[in-house]
Amino acid sequence: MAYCVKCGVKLEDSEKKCPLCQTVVYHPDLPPAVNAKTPFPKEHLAEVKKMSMRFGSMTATLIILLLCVLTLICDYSINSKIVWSDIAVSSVGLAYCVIFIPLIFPRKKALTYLTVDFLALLLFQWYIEHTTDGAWFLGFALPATCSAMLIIYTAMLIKKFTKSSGFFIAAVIFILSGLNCILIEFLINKTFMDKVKFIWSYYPLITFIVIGVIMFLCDRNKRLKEKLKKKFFI
Amino acid sequence: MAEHKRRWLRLDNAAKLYPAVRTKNWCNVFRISITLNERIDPEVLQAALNVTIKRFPSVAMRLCRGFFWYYLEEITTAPLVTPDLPYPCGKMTSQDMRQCAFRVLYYENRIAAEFFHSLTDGNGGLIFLKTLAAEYLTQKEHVEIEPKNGVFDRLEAPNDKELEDSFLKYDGHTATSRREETAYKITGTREKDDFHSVITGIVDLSDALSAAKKYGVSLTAYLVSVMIFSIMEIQDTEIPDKKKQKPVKVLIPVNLRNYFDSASMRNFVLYITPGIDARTGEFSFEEIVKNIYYQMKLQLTEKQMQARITANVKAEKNKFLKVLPLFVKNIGIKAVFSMTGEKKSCITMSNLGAVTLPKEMKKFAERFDFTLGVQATGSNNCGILSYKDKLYINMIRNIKESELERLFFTNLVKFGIAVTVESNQKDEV
Repeated sequence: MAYCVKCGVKLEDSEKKCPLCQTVVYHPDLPPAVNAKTPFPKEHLAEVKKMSMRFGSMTATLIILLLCVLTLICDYSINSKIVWSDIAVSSVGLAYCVIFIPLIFPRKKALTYLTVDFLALLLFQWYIEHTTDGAWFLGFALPATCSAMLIIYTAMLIKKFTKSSGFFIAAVIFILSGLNCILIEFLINKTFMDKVKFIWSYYPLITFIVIGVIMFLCDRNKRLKEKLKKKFFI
Repeated sequence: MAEHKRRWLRLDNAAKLYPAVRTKNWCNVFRISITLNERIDPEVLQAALNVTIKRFPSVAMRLCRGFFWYYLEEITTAPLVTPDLPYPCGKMTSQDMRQCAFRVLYYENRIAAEFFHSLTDGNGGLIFLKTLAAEYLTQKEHVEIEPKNGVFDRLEAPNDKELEDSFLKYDGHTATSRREETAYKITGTREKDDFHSVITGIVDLSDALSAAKKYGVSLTAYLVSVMIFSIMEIQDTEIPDKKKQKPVKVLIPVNLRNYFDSASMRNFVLYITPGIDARTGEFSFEEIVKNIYYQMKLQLTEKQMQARITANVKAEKNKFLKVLPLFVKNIGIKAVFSMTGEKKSCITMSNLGAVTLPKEMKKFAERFDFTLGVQATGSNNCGILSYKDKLYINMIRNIKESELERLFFTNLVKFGIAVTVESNQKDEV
């Protein structure tokens, strides 16, 4: 066992330098300890040093960006104009918003990510309509996407602010989804058909409402009630 | 077969703070470890843990979120024992705590238990670890260990008194003010990857005791004085102008079981913050020791402690605060904690005291260590305990600079106490 020449403390054999002043250990009479037992494992250091998610995502972003540019160049060099690559690039952009934004900005809440995804989806739909000369965005895609998002927002808000059980939230989602089917059929008829006529939406509506009511009843289960008691004690 | 109804507990008065103030990268974790005279067998350790958790229903818990408060819920299966990491008291994520709010780790001859502070305090953690080690030795070495000296009988049913919130029991009628002056803070370059450096100073207990005896003070008062002396040296170098300096204070957790009758395995600690106002002039070490000794004497009385318990419980019982949703409470607690909390002291020095074991266990146990996690905003912390004839001082930090440790241990050497140090420092690449 050596002493630190600067600090005067004894150093365990595992110390190659003084942990207090970083002076390298030197003992003229003792050979340096090679396999001395360390107080903490060192071999796990590599496992702990993972590549940061943010760094990984930024690298992936650059690679995706490069691929998009290459796609556009290929399309343009073959057709002398942009024919198909814009659809590919916008699809990649949508997928990017959904997958990579939560990884690059991990501190944001789920509500923020969802809003970004929602806006990206709307933009993507509008762009597709615009490039294909369609007339379905305002009449169908926008209200249908908004209603689906409203259901998700409602569920998230209930979860965030009411601490309701999973059964209750699931019940709300089922019932709202049933009602949404009516809206979807209405929008399809209004946008793509000549007259509004409800044919199929009653079936999912009834099914979803039945499932929702079952969920509500489950929510009244005694064991689950005990769980709620734990959640809501003052 | 009817499903086992899981026990759940409201957090005790001290425990309420910790879940609210934790951040993504920090939570209040402490660690106690025992080093045996042979390599740990993880399978036997897992089997021992499976038995031990049944005896400690207030420790074998996970942290859950209610609408108004957090609560603890019993876990039915023990967490898996895992190999130790390069540094102690690593972060425990919210997801980890929802599974189980403590972990058991092993490395070479050592078993370590790391607890989220809402579960228990150092006293409870030590009893848990000693009982776990006793069960491990019983299974591995087939020794019969008498349940005494802080080792519980694993087959005995848990006592209701072990689950009580003793703060509520000793809530008095007069509350004391909690207002304190902001203390000096040590700063430095943060380690990458949340690495925590630990330097352990090993000292002969008899040397440390005789050094304290020379000044007629307790060992804790002596070590706190050395720490204050060392921090004052750092402050003098950093801020040479005395008028601009801040008080140097050390937070000392106090085991209230020494003042009030309690068998609780949950948190039952308060703290005192003796210190020196560096602005008032130069202090010799003798002056600091005397000053700290009298401050501790004044603050460490049953009546003072009860008045402080009352102040803390008063906030918890406030009807308006009670009905606030948890997320609002969390914002409030976080704000108060960041404005006051750790700002009132430079470092925490927690002394668990002398660890004793039943005689059947002594020959197997070579060493104990107690390590506090780093503070949320501060850089250093210090956990102390003694076992057999040695005193183990574990200093942890999340900054690169080891100036405080250097001054503290070299001051001990200057005062005639031989110190052996070991660390988890990284090898230079």
